[in-house]
Amino acid sequence: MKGQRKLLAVIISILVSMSMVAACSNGANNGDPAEVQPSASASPTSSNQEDPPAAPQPNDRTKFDPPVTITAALQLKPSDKLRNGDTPEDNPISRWFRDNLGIVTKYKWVVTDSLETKVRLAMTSGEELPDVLSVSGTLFEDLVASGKIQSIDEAFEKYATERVKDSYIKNPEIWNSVKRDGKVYGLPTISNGIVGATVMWVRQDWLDKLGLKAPTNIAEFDAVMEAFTNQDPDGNNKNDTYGLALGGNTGYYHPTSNYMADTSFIFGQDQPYLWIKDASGNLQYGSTLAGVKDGLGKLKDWFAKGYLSPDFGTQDAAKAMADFTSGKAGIAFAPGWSGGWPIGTAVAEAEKTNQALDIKPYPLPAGVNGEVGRQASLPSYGTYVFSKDFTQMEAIFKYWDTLYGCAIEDPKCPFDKGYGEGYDYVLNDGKTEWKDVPDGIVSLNAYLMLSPSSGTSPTNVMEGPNIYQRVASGQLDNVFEQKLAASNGKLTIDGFAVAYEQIAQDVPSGFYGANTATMKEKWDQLSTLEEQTFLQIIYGKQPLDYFDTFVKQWNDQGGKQITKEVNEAVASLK
Amino acid sequence: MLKPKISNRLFQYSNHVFLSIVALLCILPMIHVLAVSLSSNYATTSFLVKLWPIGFTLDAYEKALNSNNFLIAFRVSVLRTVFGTLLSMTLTMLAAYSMSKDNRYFRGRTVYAWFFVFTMLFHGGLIPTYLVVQKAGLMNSLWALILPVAVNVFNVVLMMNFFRGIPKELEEAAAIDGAGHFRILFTIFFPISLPSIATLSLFTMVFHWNSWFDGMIYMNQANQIPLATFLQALIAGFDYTQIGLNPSDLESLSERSLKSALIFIGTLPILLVYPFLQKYFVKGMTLGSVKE
Repeated sequence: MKGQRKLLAVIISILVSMSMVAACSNGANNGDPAEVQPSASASPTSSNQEDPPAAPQPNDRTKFDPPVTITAALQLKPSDKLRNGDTPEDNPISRWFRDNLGIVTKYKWVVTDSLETKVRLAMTSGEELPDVLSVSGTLFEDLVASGKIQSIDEAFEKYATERVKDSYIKNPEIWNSVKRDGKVYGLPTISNGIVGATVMWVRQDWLDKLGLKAPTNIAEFDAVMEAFTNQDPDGNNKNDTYGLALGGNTGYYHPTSNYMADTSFIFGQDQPYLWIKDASGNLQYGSTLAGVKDGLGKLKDWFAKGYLSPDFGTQDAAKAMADFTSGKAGIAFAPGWSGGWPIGTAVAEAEKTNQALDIKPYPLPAGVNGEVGRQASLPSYGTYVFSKDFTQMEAIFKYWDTLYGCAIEDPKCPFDKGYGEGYDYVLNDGKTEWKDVPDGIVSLNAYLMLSPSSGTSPTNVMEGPNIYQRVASGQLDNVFEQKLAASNGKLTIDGFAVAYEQIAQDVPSGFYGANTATMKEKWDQLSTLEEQTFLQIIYGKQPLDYFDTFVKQWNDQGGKQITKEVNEAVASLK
Repeated sequence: MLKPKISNRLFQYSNHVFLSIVALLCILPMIHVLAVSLSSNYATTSFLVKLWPIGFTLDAYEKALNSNNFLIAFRVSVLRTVFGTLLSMTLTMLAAYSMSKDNRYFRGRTVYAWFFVFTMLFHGGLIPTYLVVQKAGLMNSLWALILPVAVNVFNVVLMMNFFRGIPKELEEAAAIDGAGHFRILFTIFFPISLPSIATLSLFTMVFHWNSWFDGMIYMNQANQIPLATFLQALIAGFDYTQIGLNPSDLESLSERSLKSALIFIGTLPILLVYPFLQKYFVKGMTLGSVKE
């Protein structure tokens, strides 16, 4: 133990001296950066702009010398395979950052499960946290409350490059999830806005056989469902098909909203489970809106007519999608990536065995009240937090800027072809090859210490059509487009391109903050009530008017109070 | 031999039927996992496979055996099981031997007995135990998986009862011939108690092979995680609400064949131990419980 402490002391002193060297070489300030930071916060931020050498530049490749070591946590996955003797701490990604920027990644923790247990034990036992952690939800709240992580306002102001700042300016709501008492406690990733956005996948061969067109509104959808259920679309003279694959067993109380086999389109702009702005600008809980009652009424009607599987309430997303890909159901709503798995794999298999399976993505039809709408993807899929003792925020933002460049297709991105030769691409006589990688393609994403976006450009940042739309229309000009085209199936690209067409109609949640006091106490109970009500109505165990009883119960059992608290919380952020 | 009565035969038949059903209930899931592990990825993700592989392929096993993480985890599990069981059995025997002596012979036995029994009734709980392990500097070492569970009081009590069933005369005869306690324990008691030692060893082995939680909280490095922890992560999957566009996430969602292969390889070693120890098994339990 003593030996370890000594070692730690040595490491810390090295880190501190390194930061001094780094700070001096920039000529921005002299002295210990730890002492400078408070004064920087006191002085107005404009002082940074008056001092041109201090403004961080994009793609700045000045190397930290001696190198900066940052500790992190790695989530080990059984599918992670490194090649050529590489290790989590020594692989193409970590080598590039070490050799070009002088940033060394060390994994203090390797976890197999979610980080949660580990972090909580460390918090109670006083064990030191790694410098960087990716967290979300209640764990983030508890870390803020524990005081073990630092607020990053000053560091962000000082070290983030213009383009990185710009990405947050263009997505202002994103700070709300990490702002507590006016301070920012983490660096949220920004999603590309369509990761989870659903499109309508339809059995094209069934449509063609029955002489139908893809539905664009609820009446047409009704007709297609009827035909798919009763007119024997697979031509086997058995009444063994149904209309819509729906995975009602989600594990998180939202029977009509799943990551695949979802049915959020039916509710149009009145999306359940989200906090939705009403005409006066106040937030209302989506599940209590009138549009949801209409949507549930439609689902109840469909269930009674046999358009849904009798087992939908117990089917999870994968099982419901299996019904769709194996020819039992004719329509499924799922995000663009499902064009790879499970739809893409099923189509490939069907081609191999000469079976009919022709599936196409279509834009969502309008919902029951005539409006198009779906649940928007989360604005952020995780937040990086930094230990309170960590002083190397400059290195963090350099790492971040480099990878942010890759997300927005900067030609200077060092990983434009992929993350590692022999992993996700190979070079043949100077030509890049993305498909035929010996022993198969392996993704190195897990070994990124920080990952600012989910692969493609964050929302609202790049002008013009999105990369999926460009590739879908056949444009292959830059290396990013070529890589995307080569490493994704056509259905995936088409699926995402279709998802983008309707991004303007996505319904975001108006509230991403911490759980309010009453929420902590009552939310589980209210959610159970909600799930049971929805399922009972669709299954026909309760009349549709039971919905009104539910709304009353929901409000009486704490929902009203929660709505008030949520509105107050949102108002306090402004 | 008497011809069995009708009712007797009926009992025999229904007994066989009932036990066959129970046996099937135990073995069918194993067969299903085996079938899934031998099927093509498409068939498994479409939930087509029941008890016979569809699209037979050994891909999953090839992948599993090429996966470094898996092999390392396997090694850690073997190490902890072997050393954990050896240490555990040694300590259990030493404790049980002394505790099997009565109070006249071993002064203060009651105090020791209470000391052991106390831990059966009250234990530290998660966080205090974690703190002890951490402050003892055991984090990230194989000892963290072995030492905290080295003495199972229940096993000590079983073993103690078994030792008490051994005739005193044997021990006295050995003592007259000049044998000390260690010699009596290892050359007289040990061979006689083989059935119960084998039984308890099996319990301990299965325990070590299956426990995953300690591996998750005490081990921070990739090369120290035991197989059970690794498999637990594999089965538990991830939070669907947080699904991102990460190809490796999607890959792990769709690799049911690989998961099944890993599970099957993971359960195999401990299954193989059973037949070798079974002959002691029945004898061991009953012998240990009542005999005076």
